[in-house]
Amino acid sequence: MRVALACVVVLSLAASGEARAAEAKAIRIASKSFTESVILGEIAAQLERAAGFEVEHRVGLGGSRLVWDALVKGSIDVYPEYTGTLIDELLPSSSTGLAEALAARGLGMTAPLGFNNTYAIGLRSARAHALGVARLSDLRAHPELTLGFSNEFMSRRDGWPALQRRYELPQTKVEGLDHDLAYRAVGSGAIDVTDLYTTDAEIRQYGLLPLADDLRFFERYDAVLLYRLDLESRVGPGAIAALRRLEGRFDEAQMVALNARAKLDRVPQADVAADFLRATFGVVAAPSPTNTARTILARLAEHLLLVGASLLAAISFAIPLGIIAARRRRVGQVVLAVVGVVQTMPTLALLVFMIPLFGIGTVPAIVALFLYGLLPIVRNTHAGLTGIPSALVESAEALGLSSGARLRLVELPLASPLILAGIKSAAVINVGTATLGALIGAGGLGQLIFTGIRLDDVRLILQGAIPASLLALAVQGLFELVERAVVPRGLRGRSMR
Amino acid sequence: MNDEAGAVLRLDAVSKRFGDAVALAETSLDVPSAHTTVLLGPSGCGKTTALRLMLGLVRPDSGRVLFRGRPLGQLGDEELRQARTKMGYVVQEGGLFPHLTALDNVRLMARQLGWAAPRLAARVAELAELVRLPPDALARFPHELSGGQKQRVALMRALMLDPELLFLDEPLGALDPLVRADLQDDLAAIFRRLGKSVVLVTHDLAEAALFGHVLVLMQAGRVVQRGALDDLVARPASPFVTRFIAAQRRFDPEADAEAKA
Repeated sequence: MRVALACVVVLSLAASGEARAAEAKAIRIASKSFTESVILGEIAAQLERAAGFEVEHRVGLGGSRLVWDALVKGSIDVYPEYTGTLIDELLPSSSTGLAEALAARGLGMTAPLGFNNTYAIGLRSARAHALGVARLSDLRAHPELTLGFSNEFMSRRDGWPALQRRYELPQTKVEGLDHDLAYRAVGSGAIDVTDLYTTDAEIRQYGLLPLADDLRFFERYDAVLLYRLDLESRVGPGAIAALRRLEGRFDEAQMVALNARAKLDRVPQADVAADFLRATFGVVAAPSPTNTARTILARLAEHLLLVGASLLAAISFAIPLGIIAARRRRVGQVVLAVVGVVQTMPTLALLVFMIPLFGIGTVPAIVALFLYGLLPIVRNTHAGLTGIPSALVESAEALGLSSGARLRLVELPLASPLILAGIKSAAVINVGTATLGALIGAGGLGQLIFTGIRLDDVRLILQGAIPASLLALAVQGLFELVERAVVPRGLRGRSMR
Repeated sequence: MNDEAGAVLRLDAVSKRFGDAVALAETSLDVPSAHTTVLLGPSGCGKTTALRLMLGLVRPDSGRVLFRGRPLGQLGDEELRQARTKMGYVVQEGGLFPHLTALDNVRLMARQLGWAAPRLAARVAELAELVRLPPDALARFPHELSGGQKQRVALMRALMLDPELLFLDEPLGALDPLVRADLQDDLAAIFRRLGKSVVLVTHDLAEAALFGHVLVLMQAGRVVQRGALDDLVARPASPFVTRFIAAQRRFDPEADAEAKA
């Protein structure tokens, strides 16, 4: 059993090491978690691939801050960004020009790609006409409206709070929600007003009217590509020149059309990118393969790596911790309190805390899942050991068994049903929680679910959700088999008392 | 080798408190070699605490527990484990490990000590005959054994290493009366046959009289009187002794009859 565990650990370490070695030569392009960013990222990726580079595209990696941090930290090399976001959000205090501020961080920026995707505030055209609203200032007369903004817009320096001050808007019913969900909420009438990007396909889909920014509140959001200055020294010359070919190649209408093809016509984003490259540069680029079964299997494999590695680590830490906790009461209380606190942290917060420590990708997700897996196992190991009737503990001691032999021959076997139950619940919890790993670039089945939410594609959501549920059931079943192998026959199906 | 007057184990001015409660007031007591000593008294009188002190399962607050003349408190971990292989212990409900078969319970410690298979088998067979355990019972798990069988297996486990001292804490307390009478007779026969030093804890006067060469009557953490049953009846050290004897005889006529027999 122990040998098998050691083999699994060694193999998974070797596999991840190999993957990292392959990554070292690839250009790591990321996109933010909305369609336009993914299309731009995919266009850049295919262009680099056509130029002969090895490319890895981390699709929909996260929000601005997360992707920016990943770039600064060197976890990725390239991603599409907007000048307004840089000025207001990412480099707010820099007094020098944008290029200098970026260079100081080892980053470079292409010239604008050609379109301005700024924020706008909009509501359904029919409702706007009924209310007589056409400009942002007109909202002042309608305090009864319900506003729903993307979470990012709620907290940005150039977001809702500043907008409200500038226009002196009286609305009090304001909620934050996911950008894509906000569109659906406006469409269904659940909210009246939301924030838009001016190149969003949904403006057409939901019949929305972007209100005129009559006080010129919003900045320009010219799309650019950010890249690390050390990119070419790592992957070879020509990588940055390839990105530069995209400068000035877009306008707003074209970007809306690309977005609409992906979001409304359900054309795979890779195909949208490939078609654009063919039409614009005559480049025939290989879109990333989209074989459904293979995609699901690949995501499943990533998911299993997340759950398996984190669970093995949790088991090998938590059982000794539980034993120490059971043997020393004071230490035990502290240990249980600490792992309990970890458990109460919101999953997303814990994942984001991992980024400064471990970057993005598989490793921080495994660490976070490992921390989540500790509590059930530590608690059950502790409960299993302290719950052994004292007559049995004293009988073992009186036999003359050493404390190590007592643990091995008597206490752990007696506690094994509870310990195994703890491992089982850690595994089942981790199968579910691992879907959130996609938010920090760890892939897994969550990648399908979040992409599905972003594209409003139920089929894609189910491609992630159904295997995840089946996996949880499989884990449950697997543990019943393990139970039969591990739990002594005399204890099965009955309490030890 | 044994202490003066053939005491294999002695409590020398030993006391023990649990929090504010005095479990055992300062007590000195000899366990004579090759005799059966019965610690007798109502529940909470300190008899089980005295037993656990003798086994070194709890440490005394003051005084010394001397095993073959050496204080248990001065033994290192290894020496203490050594000493315990010279002691056998049977708790009230047997304390059999539920995850092991009767056979594995019995031979657990001997296997740890590296006994060879033939020696293990021979010793188990010898003990099974001694305690009159049906052969097929050895393959069963504790929950598949009757109450009486559990106690017989527990006794085998305690005797496996042929200890000098055998401790039994209310070994018959949880059994129904018929099984109990049966096992009482067997135990008495076994003790006579083995001629070991035995310390047995019970609250039952009849049982005490059946087993005990020496009765040690305790009350509220103190030894009230030490002697044979006849001494306790004829020369009670305090009114408590008389009351204790009278009460048991009144409420337990069956045991009373046995005690006289």
